[in-house]
Amino acid sequence: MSDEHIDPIDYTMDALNDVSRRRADQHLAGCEQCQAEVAEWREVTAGLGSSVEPVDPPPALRQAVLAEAARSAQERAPASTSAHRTPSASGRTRHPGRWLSAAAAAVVLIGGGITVATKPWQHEPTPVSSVERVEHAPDAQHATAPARDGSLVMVTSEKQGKAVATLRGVPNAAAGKVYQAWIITGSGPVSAGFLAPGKATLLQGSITGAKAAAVTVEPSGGSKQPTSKPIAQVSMT
Amino acid sequence: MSMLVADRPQVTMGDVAVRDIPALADLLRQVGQGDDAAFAQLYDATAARVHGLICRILVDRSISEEVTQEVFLEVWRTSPRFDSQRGSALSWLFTIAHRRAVDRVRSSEAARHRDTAYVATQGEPAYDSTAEQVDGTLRAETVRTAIGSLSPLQREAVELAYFEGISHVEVADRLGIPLGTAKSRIRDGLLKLRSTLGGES
Ligand SMILES: [Zn+2]
Repeated sequence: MSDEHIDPIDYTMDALNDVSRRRADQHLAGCEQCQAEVAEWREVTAGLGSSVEPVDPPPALRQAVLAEAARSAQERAPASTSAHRTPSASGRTRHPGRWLSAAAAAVVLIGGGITVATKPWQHEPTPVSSVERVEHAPDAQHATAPARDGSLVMVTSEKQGKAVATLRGVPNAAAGKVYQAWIITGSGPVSAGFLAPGKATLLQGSITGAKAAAVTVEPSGGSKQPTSKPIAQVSMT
Repeated sequence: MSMLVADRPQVTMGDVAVRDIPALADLLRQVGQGDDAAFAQLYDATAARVHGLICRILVDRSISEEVTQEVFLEVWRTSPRFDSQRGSALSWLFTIAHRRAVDRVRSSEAARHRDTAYVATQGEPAYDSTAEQVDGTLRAETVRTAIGSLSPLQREAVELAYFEGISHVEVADRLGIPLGTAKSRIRDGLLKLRSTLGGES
Protein backbone atom coordinates (compact mmCIF):
# COMPACT_ATOMS: atom_id res chain seq x y z
CA MET A 1 0.00 0.00 0.00
CA SER A 2 1.21 3.46 -0.79
CA ASP A 3 1.70 5.94 2.03
CA GLU A 4 -0.56 8.73 0.88
CA HIS A 5 -4.18 8.56 1.81
CA ILE A 6 -6.60 8.92 -1.07
CA ASP A 7 -9.04 11.74 -1.60
CA PRO A 8 -12.23 9.91 -0.66
CA ILE A 9 -14.45 12.39 -2.50
CA ASP A 10 -12.63 12.13 -5.81
CA TYR A 11 -12.66 8.40 -5.41
CA THR A 12 -16.32 8.09 -4.51
CA MET A 13 -17.41 10.43 -7.27
CA ASP A 14 -15.55 8.21 -9.78
CA ALA A 15 -13.63 11.31 -10.75
CA LEU A 16 -10.30 9.51 -11.04
CA ASN A 17 -8.80 8.34 -14.28
CA ASP A 18 -7.94 4.68 -14.62
CA VAL A 19 -4.38 5.02 -13.41
CA SER A 20 -5.29 7.05 -10.36
CA ARG A 21 -8.18 4.78 -9.56
CA ARG A 22 -5.94 1.76 -9.71
CA ARG A 23 -3.45 3.42 -7.41
CA ALA A 24 -6.28 4.37 -5.07
CA ASP A 25 -7.58 0.80 -5.10
CA GLN A 26 -4.17 -0.44 -4.07
CA HIS A 27 -4.03 2.00 -1.22
CA LEU A 28 -7.56 1.20 -0.12
CA ALA A 29 -6.79 -2.48 0.03
CA GLY A 30 -4.58 -1.84 3.01
CA CYS A 31 -6.05 1.26 4.63
CA GLU A 32 -9.00 0.84 6.96
CA GLN A 33 -9.29 4.59 7.45
CA CYS A 34 -9.77 5.32 3.77
CA GLN A 35 -12.11 2.36 3.41
CA ALA A 36 -14.29 3.80 6.16
CA GLU A 37 -14.29 7.26 4.65
CA VAL A 38 -15.15 5.99 1.19
CA ALA A 39 -17.96 3.91 2.68
CA GLU A 40 -19.35 7.00 4.37
CA TRP A 41 -19.13 9.21 1.31
CA ARG A 42 -20.85 6.52 -0.66
CA GLU A 43 -23.90 6.95 1.46
CA VAL A 44 -23.88 10.61 0.49
CA THR A 45 -23.47 9.98 -3.22
CA ALA A 46 -26.17 7.34 -2.93
CA GLY A 47 -28.33 10.28 -1.92
CA LEU A 48 -27.53 11.89 -5.24
CA GLY A 49 -28.39 8.63 -6.96
CA SER A 50 -31.66 8.48 -5.10
CA SER A 51 -32.63 11.95 -6.25
CA VAL A 52 -33.03 10.73 -9.81
CA GLU A 53 -36.43 9.80 -11.16
CA PRO A 54 -36.76 6.02 -11.46
CA VAL A 55 -37.05 4.63 -14.96
CA ASP A 56 -38.49 1.18 -15.51
CA PRO A 57 -36.22 -0.96 -17.65
CA PRO A 58 -37.99 -3.00 -20.33
CA PRO A 59 -39.34 -6.39 -19.20
CA ALA A 60 -36.98 -8.20 -21.54
CA LEU A 61 -34.08 -6.86 -19.55
CA ARG A 62 -35.34 -8.59 -16.43
CA GLN A 63 -35.51 -11.90 -18.24
CA ALA A 64 -32.03 -11.45 -19.67
CA VAL A 65 -30.57 -10.53 -16.29
CA LEU A 66 -32.16 -13.44 -14.45
CA ALA A 67 -31.29 -15.94 -17.16
CA GLU A 68 -27.70 -14.78 -17.29
CA ALA A 69 -27.36 -14.80 -13.52
CA ALA A 70 -28.62 -18.38 -13.46
CA ARG A 71 -25.73 -19.28 -15.73
CA SER A 72 -23.09 -17.24 -13.93
CA ALA A 73 -21.05 -18.31 -10.96
CA GLN A 74 -20.71 -15.99 -8.01
CA GLU A 75 -17.51 -14.89 -6.44
CA ARG A 76 -16.64 -16.54 -3.20
CA ALA A 77 -17.26 -14.55 -0.08
CA PRO A 78 -14.08 -12.98 1.25
CA ALA A 79 -12.48 -14.69 4.23
CA SER A 80 -11.97 -11.28 5.77
CA THR A 81 -10.34 -8.57 3.72
CA SER A 82 -9.32 -10.69 0.81
CA ALA A 83 -7.57 -9.27 -2.17
CA HIS A 84 -9.46 -9.26 -5.37
CA ARG A 85 -9.81 -7.85 -8.79
CA THR A 86 -10.98 -4.39 -9.55
CA PRO A 87 -13.73 -3.94 -12.09
CA SER A 88 -12.44 -4.11 -15.59
CA ALA A 89 -13.69 -1.85 -18.30
CA SER A 90 -17.31 -2.41 -19.06
CA GLY A 91 -18.34 -4.37 -22.10
CA ARG A 92 -19.16 -2.76 -25.36
CA THR A 93 -21.98 -3.21 -27.77
CA ARG A 94 -21.42 -6.32 -29.79
CA HIS A 95 -22.90 -7.15 -33.12
CA PRO A 96 -22.94 -10.56 -34.73
CA GLY A 97 -20.66 -11.01 -37.70
CA ARG A 98 -22.16 -11.72 -41.05
CA TRP A 99 -20.91 -15.24 -41.53
CA LEU A 100 -22.15 -16.16 -38.12
CA SER A 101 -25.56 -14.63 -38.11
CA ALA A 102 -26.24 -16.37 -41.36
CA ALA A 103 -25.00 -19.65 -39.99
CA ALA A 104 -26.61 -19.63 -36.60
CA ALA A 105 -29.85 -17.79 -36.46
CA ALA A 106 -30.65 -18.97 -32.95
CA VAL A 107 -27.61 -17.48 -31.32
CA VAL A 108 -28.24 -14.74 -28.82
CA LEU A 109 -25.55 -12.40 -27.67
CA ILE A 110 -25.31 -11.01 -24.22
CA GLY A 111 -22.88 -8.13 -23.99
CA GLY A 112 -20.22 -7.98 -21.32
CA GLY A 113 -22.16 -9.50 -18.50
CA ILE A 114 -19.56 -11.17 -16.40
CA THR A 115 -17.04 -8.65 -15.32
CA VAL A 116 -15.56 -9.39 -11.96
CA ALA A 117 -15.68 -6.66 -9.38
CA THR A 118 -16.28 -4.84 -7.03
CA LYS A 119 -14.98 -3.77 -3.69
CA PRO A 120 -12.77 -1.04 -4.97
CA TRP A 121 -10.04 -1.59 -2.44
CA GLN A 122 -9.31 -5.01 -3.78
CA HIS A 123 -5.88 -5.76 -5.15
CA GLU A 124 -5.26 -6.90 -8.60
CA PRO A 125 -3.40 -10.18 -8.50
CA THR A 126 -0.22 -10.45 -10.50
CA PRO A 127 -1.02 -12.20 -13.76
CA VAL A 128 1.04 -15.28 -14.29
CA SER A 129 -0.22 -17.25 -17.26
CA SER A 130 -1.10 -15.95 -20.69
CA VAL A 131 -4.72 -16.74 -19.88
CA GLU A 132 -4.58 -14.63 -16.77
CA ARG A 133 -2.74 -11.88 -18.59
CA VAL A 134 -5.77 -11.49 -20.82
CA GLU A 135 -8.32 -11.98 -18.07
CA HIS A 136 -6.65 -9.37 -15.90
CA ALA A 137 -5.89 -6.93 -18.69
CA PRO A 138 -6.94 -3.37 -17.88
CA ASP A 139 -8.85 -3.30 -21.15
CA ALA A 140 -10.41 -6.75 -20.70
CA GLN A 141 -13.80 -7.06 -22.32
CA HIS A 142 -16.20 -9.81 -21.33
CA ALA A 143 -19.02 -11.40 -23.21
CA THR A 144 -21.14 -14.46 -22.74
CA ALA A 145 -23.15 -16.29 -25.34
CA PRO A 146 -25.30 -19.37 -24.96
CA ALA A 147 -23.69 -22.60 -26.11
CA ARG A 148 -25.90 -25.66 -26.06
CA ASP A 149 -26.94 -26.10 -22.42
CA GLY A 150 -24.23 -23.83 -21.18
CA SER A 151 -22.37 -20.78 -22.34
CA LEU A 152 -19.30 -19.56 -24.13
CA VAL A 153 -17.45 -16.99 -22.06
CA MET A 154 -15.03 -14.77 -23.91
CA VAL A 155 -12.54 -12.36 -22.46
CA THR A 156 -10.64 -10.22 -24.92
CA SER A 157 -7.86 -7.69 -24.66
CA GLU A 158 -7.63 -5.45 -27.66
CA LYS A 159 -4.23 -4.17 -26.64
CA GLN A 160 -2.83 -7.67 -26.43
CA GLY A 161 -4.78 -8.77 -29.48
CA LYS A 162 -5.70 -11.88 -27.54
CA ALA A 163 -8.80 -13.70 -26.41
CA VAL A 164 -9.53 -16.34 -23.79
CA ALA A 165 -12.51 -18.62 -24.30
CA THR A 166 -14.22 -20.95 -21.86
CA LEU A 167 -17.11 -23.30 -22.47
CA ARG A 168 -19.15 -23.51 -19.30
CA GLY A 169 -21.77 -26.09 -18.56
CA VAL A 170 -21.29 -27.67 -21.95
CA PRO A 171 -21.07 -31.47 -22.18
CA ASN A 172 -17.95 -33.07 -23.56
CA ALA A 173 -17.92 -33.39 -27.31
CA ALA A 174 -19.29 -36.66 -28.62
CA ALA A 175 -16.83 -39.48 -29.38
CA GLY A 176 -14.77 -38.58 -32.42
CA LYS A 177 -15.67 -34.90 -32.17
CA VAL A 178 -13.97 -31.81 -30.80
CA TYR A 179 -14.92 -28.26 -30.04
CA GLN A 180 -12.96 -26.03 -32.36
CA ALA A 181 -12.66 -22.29 -31.90
CA TRP A 182 -12.55 -19.84 -34.78
CA ILE A 183 -11.55 -16.26 -35.14
CA ILE A 184 -13.59 -14.60 -37.85
CA THR A 185 -11.77 -12.00 -39.89
CA GLY A 186 -12.85 -10.10 -42.98
CA SER A 187 -11.66 -13.02 -45.08
CA GLY A 188 -13.51 -15.68 -43.10
CA PRO A 189 -12.95 -18.03 -40.17
CA VAL A 190 -9.45 -19.03 -39.08
CA SER A 191 -8.90 -21.89 -36.67
CA ALA A 192 -8.00 -20.71 -33.17
CA GLY A 193 -7.49 -24.07 -31.51
CA PHE A 194 -9.63 -26.43 -29.46
CA LEU A 195 -11.69 -25.97 -26.35
CA ALA A 196 -12.30 -28.46 -23.58
CA PRO A 197 -15.42 -27.76 -21.52
CA GLY A 198 -14.64 -25.90 -18.31
CA LYS A 199 -11.12 -24.96 -19.31
CA ALA A 200 -10.16 -21.34 -19.99
CA THR A 201 -8.13 -21.42 -23.18
CA LEU A 202 -6.04 -18.78 -24.88
CA LEU A 203 -7.16 -18.66 -28.48
CA GLN A 204 -4.43 -19.09 -31.07
CA GLY A 205 -3.85 -16.17 -33.36
CA SER A 206 -4.62 -12.51 -33.03
CA ILE A 207 -8.04 -10.97 -32.58
CA THR A 208 -6.85 -7.63 -33.90
CA GLY A 209 -9.27 -6.65 -36.61
CA ALA A 210 -11.35 -9.77 -35.99
CA LYS A 211 -15.10 -9.50 -36.31
CA ALA A 212 -16.11 -12.38 -34.10
CA ALA A 213 -15.14 -15.64 -32.51
CA ALA A 214 -17.12 -18.83 -32.73
CA VAL A 215 -17.09 -22.45 -31.67
CA THR A 216 -18.13 -25.36 -33.84
CA VAL A 217 -18.17 -29.12 -33.38
CA GLU A 218 -15.67 -30.73 -35.74
CA PRO A 219 -14.30 -34.20 -36.35
CA SER A 220 -11.35 -35.08 -34.09
CA GLY A 221 -8.22 -33.36 -35.28
CA GLY A 222 -10.21 -30.38 -36.36
CA SER A 223 -11.09 -28.87 -39.69
CA LYS A 224 -9.47 -26.26 -41.85
CA GLN A 225 -12.77 -24.49 -42.21
CA PRO A 226 -15.92 -24.93 -40.11
CA THR A 227 -18.05 -27.80 -41.33
CA SER A 228 -21.01 -27.15 -39.07
CA LYS A 229 -22.99 -24.26 -37.69
CA PRO A 230 -21.49 -22.54 -34.66
CA ILE A 231 -22.81 -23.69 -31.30
CA ALA A 232 -21.83 -20.26 -29.96
CA GLN A 233 -20.50 -17.00 -31.21
CA VAL A 234 -19.32 -13.72 -29.80
CA SER A 235 -18.98 -10.66 -31.91
CA MET A 236 -16.03 -8.31 -31.52
CA THR A 237 -16.93 -5.28 -33.56
CA MET B 1 -2.59 14.67 -1.62
CA SER B 2 -1.42 15.31 1.91
CA MET B 3 -3.17 18.67 1.82
CA LEU B 4 -6.42 16.92 1.15
CA VAL B 5 -5.85 14.60 4.03
CA ALA B 6 -5.11 17.48 6.33
CA ASP B 7 -8.38 19.29 5.71
CA ARG B 8 -10.41 16.17 5.83
CA PRO B 9 -13.67 16.66 7.72
CA GLN B 10 -13.62 15.47 11.29
CA VAL B 11 -17.33 14.79 11.45
CA THR B 12 -18.47 11.21 11.66
CA MET B 13 -20.95 10.10 9.09
CA GLY B 14 -22.24 6.93 10.59
CA ASP B 15 -25.72 8.28 10.72
CA VAL B 16 -26.22 9.61 7.28
CA ALA B 17 -29.77 9.07 6.19
CA VAL B 18 -29.16 6.66 3.37
CA ARG B 19 -30.23 3.63 5.28
CA ASP B 20 -32.02 0.73 3.75
CA ILE B 21 -35.14 -0.72 4.94
CA PRO B 22 -33.62 -3.88 6.42
CA ALA B 23 -35.33 -5.99 3.78
CA LEU B 24 -33.05 -4.71 1.07
CA ALA B 25 -29.85 -5.59 2.90
CA ASP B 26 -31.35 -8.98 3.78
CA LEU B 27 -32.24 -9.59 0.19
CA LEU B 28 -28.75 -8.74 -0.94
CA ARG B 29 -27.32 -11.09 1.67
CA GLN B 30 -29.55 -13.87 0.40
CA VAL B 31 -28.46 -13.12 -3.14
CA GLY B 32 -24.92 -13.50 -1.87
CA GLN B 33 -25.78 -17.04 -0.89
CA GLY B 34 -26.80 -17.84 -4.42
CA ASP B 35 -30.53 -17.40 -3.90
CA ASP B 36 -31.88 -16.60 -7.34
CA ALA B 37 -35.41 -15.95 -6.11
CA ALA B 38 -33.99 -13.28 -3.82
CA PHE B 39 -32.12 -11.90 -6.79
CA ALA B 40 -35.34 -11.59 -8.75
CA GLN B 41 -36.89 -9.76 -5.81
CA LEU B 42 -33.91 -7.47 -5.49
CA TYR B 43 -34.12 -6.71 -9.17
CA ASP B 44 -37.81 -5.91 -8.96
CA ALA B 45 -37.24 -3.72 -5.95
CA THR B 46 -34.34 -1.71 -7.30
CA ALA B 47 -34.12 -1.95 -11.08
CA ALA B 48 -36.04 1.26 -11.75
CA ARG B 49 -33.79 3.17 -9.36
CA VAL B 50 -30.62 1.77 -10.80
CA HIS B 51 -31.82 2.21 -14.36
CA GLY B 52 -32.96 5.75 -13.59
CA LEU B 53 -29.47 6.70 -12.44
CA ILE B 54 -27.86 5.05 -15.42
CA CYS B 55 -30.25 6.75 -17.85
CA ARG B 56 -29.51 10.06 -16.18
CA ILE B 57 -25.79 9.59 -16.73
CA LEU B 58 -25.77 7.93 -20.12
CA VAL B 59 -28.96 9.37 -21.64
CA ASP B 60 -28.99 6.93 -24.56
CA ARG B 61 -31.65 4.35 -23.75
CA SER B 62 -30.16 1.30 -25.40
CA ILE B 63 -26.71 1.87 -23.94
CA SER B 64 -28.33 2.45 -20.57
CA GLU B 65 -30.13 -0.87 -20.82
CA GLU B 66 -26.89 -2.66 -21.55
CA VAL B 67 -25.23 -1.06 -18.60
CA THR B 68 -28.15 -1.82 -16.29
CA GLN B 69 -27.86 -5.44 -17.33
CA GLU B 70 -24.13 -5.42 -16.64
CA VAL B 71 -24.70 -3.81 -13.28
CA PHE B 72 -27.17 -6.41 -12.10
CA LEU B 73 -24.96 -9.24 -13.25
CA GLU B 74 -22.10 -7.65 -11.36
CA VAL B 75 -24.38 -7.40 -8.34
CA TRP B 76 -25.15 -11.08 -8.68
CA ARG B 77 -21.54 -12.08 -9.01
CA THR B 78 -20.14 -9.92 -6.27
CA SER B 79 -22.99 -10.08 -3.77
CA PRO B 80 -21.14 -12.61 -1.58
CA ARG B 81 -18.88 -9.69 -0.72
CA PHE B 82 -21.66 -7.39 0.38
CA ASP B 83 -21.25 -6.46 4.02
CA SER B 84 -24.08 -4.48 5.53
CA GLN B 85 -21.72 -3.27 8.25
CA ARG B 86 -19.81 -1.36 5.63
CA GLY B 87 -22.66 0.33 3.89
CA SER B 88 -26.24 0.17 2.73
CA ALA B 89 -27.48 -2.07 -0.04
CA LEU B 90 -28.61 0.95 -2.01
CA SER B 91 -25.21 2.55 -1.90
CA TRP B 92 -23.68 -0.75 -2.96
CA LEU B 93 -25.98 -0.82 -5.98
CA PHE B 94 -25.49 2.83 -6.85
CA THR B 95 -21.73 2.52 -6.50
CA ILE B 96 -21.62 -0.25 -9.06
CA ALA B 97 -24.09 1.54 -11.32
CA HIS B 98 -22.31 4.88 -11.15
CA ARG B 99 -18.91 3.45 -11.80
CA ARG B 100 -20.05 1.43 -14.78
CA ALA B 101 -22.05 4.26 -16.25
CA VAL B 102 -19.14 6.65 -15.85
CA ASP B 103 -16.77 4.15 -17.44
CA ARG B 104 -19.16 3.94 -20.33
CA VAL B 105 -19.71 7.65 -20.72
CA ARG B 106 -15.98 8.12 -20.96
CA SER B 107 -15.77 5.85 -23.93
CA SER B 108 -16.07 8.04 -26.99
CA GLU B 109 -18.85 5.92 -28.39
CA ALA B 110 -21.17 6.60 -25.50
CA ALA B 111 -20.22 10.27 -25.46
CA ARG B 112 -21.25 10.56 -29.08
CA HIS B 113 -24.61 8.90 -28.53
CA ARG B 114 -25.14 10.97 -25.51
CA ASP B 115 -24.89 14.31 -27.24
CA THR B 116 -27.32 13.44 -29.97
CA ALA B 117 -29.73 11.48 -27.82
CA TYR B 118 -30.04 13.99 -25.04
CA VAL B 119 -33.06 15.90 -26.30
CA ALA B 120 -34.92 12.81 -27.37
CA THR B 121 -34.85 11.08 -24.00
CA GLN B 122 -35.63 13.95 -21.70
CA GLY B 123 -39.29 13.03 -21.65
CA GLU B 124 -41.17 12.32 -18.51
CA PRO B 125 -39.87 9.53 -16.33
CA ALA B 126 -41.70 6.28 -15.88
CA TYR B 127 -42.55 6.17 -12.22
CA ASP B 128 -42.40 2.95 -10.34
CA SER B 129 -44.17 2.42 -7.09
CA THR B 130 -41.82 -0.33 -5.91
CA ALA B 131 -38.92 2.09 -6.16
CA GLU B 132 -40.69 4.41 -3.80
CA GLN B 133 -41.25 1.63 -1.29
CA VAL B 134 -37.63 0.67 -1.40
CA ASP B 135 -36.44 4.04 -0.31
CA GLY B 136 -37.17 3.48 3.33
CA THR B 137 -35.65 6.37 5.22
CA LEU B 138 -34.26 7.83 2.06
CA ARG B 139 -37.12 9.35 0.14
CA ALA B 140 -36.32 10.90 -3.15
CA GLU B 141 -38.17 14.00 -2.06
CA THR B 142 -35.99 14.31 1.03
CA VAL B 143 -32.88 14.09 -1.03
CA ARG B 144 -34.15 16.61 -3.52
CA THR B 145 -34.80 18.97 -0.67
CA ALA B 146 -31.30 18.37 0.64
CA ILE B 147 -29.88 19.04 -2.79
CA GLY B 148 -32.01 22.14 -2.93
CA SER B 149 -30.23 23.40 0.19
CA LEU B 150 -26.93 23.65 -1.70
CA SER B 151 -25.92 26.98 -3.10
CA PRO B 152 -26.58 27.16 -6.84
CA LEU B 153 -22.85 27.10 -7.53
CA GLN B 154 -22.30 24.07 -5.31
CA ARG B 155 -25.23 22.28 -6.78
CA GLU B 156 -24.09 22.95 -10.31
CA ALA B 157 -20.61 21.59 -9.58
CA VAL B 158 -21.85 18.54 -7.66
CA GLU B 159 -24.41 17.58 -10.27
CA LEU B 160 -21.97 18.10 -13.09
CA ALA B 161 -19.41 15.91 -11.36
CA TYR B 162 -21.81 13.15 -10.40
CA PHE B 163 -24.24 12.97 -13.30
CA GLU B 164 -22.05 13.89 -16.25
CA GLY B 165 -19.39 11.32 -15.47
CA ILE B 166 -16.58 13.80 -16.02
CA SER B 167 -13.41 14.44 -14.08
CA HIS B 168 -13.06 17.39 -11.77
CA VAL B 169 -10.68 18.96 -14.25
CA GLU B 170 -13.45 18.83 -16.83
CA VAL B 171 -15.91 20.23 -14.33
CA ALA B 172 -13.56 23.18 -13.89
CA ASP B 173 -13.25 23.57 -17.65
CA ARG B 174 -16.98 23.49 -18.21
CA LEU B 175 -17.61 26.05 -15.53
CA GLY B 176 -14.64 28.17 -16.56
CA ILE B 177 -13.21 28.18 -13.04
CA PRO B 178 -9.88 27.00 -11.58
CA LEU B 179 -9.62 23.35 -10.59
CA GLY B 180 -9.21 24.24 -6.93
CA THR B 181 -12.42 26.22 -7.01
CA ALA B 182 -14.28 23.40 -8.70
CA LYS B 183 -13.01 20.90 -6.16
CA SER B 184 -13.97 23.03 -3.20
CA ARG B 185 -17.45 23.66 -4.61
CA ILE B 186 -17.92 19.92 -5.00
CA ARG B 187 -16.50 19.21 -1.58
CA ASP B 188 -18.50 21.93 0.16
CA GLY B 189 -21.64 20.83 -1.64
CA LEU B 190 -21.20 17.23 -0.58
CA LEU B 191 -20.44 18.24 2.99
CA LYS B 192 -23.62 20.26 3.02
CA LEU B 193 -25.54 17.39 1.57
CA ARG B 194 -24.09 15.07 4.12
CA SER B 195 -25.01 17.22 7.05
CA THR B 196 -28.50 17.85 5.72
CA LEU B 197 -29.12 14.16 5.16
CA GLY B 198 -27.38 13.17 8.36
CA GLY B 199 -29.16 15.74 10.51
CA GLU B 200 -32.45 14.33 9.43
CA SER B 201 -32.09 10.87 10.83
ZN1 LIG C 1 -5.64 5.69 3.58
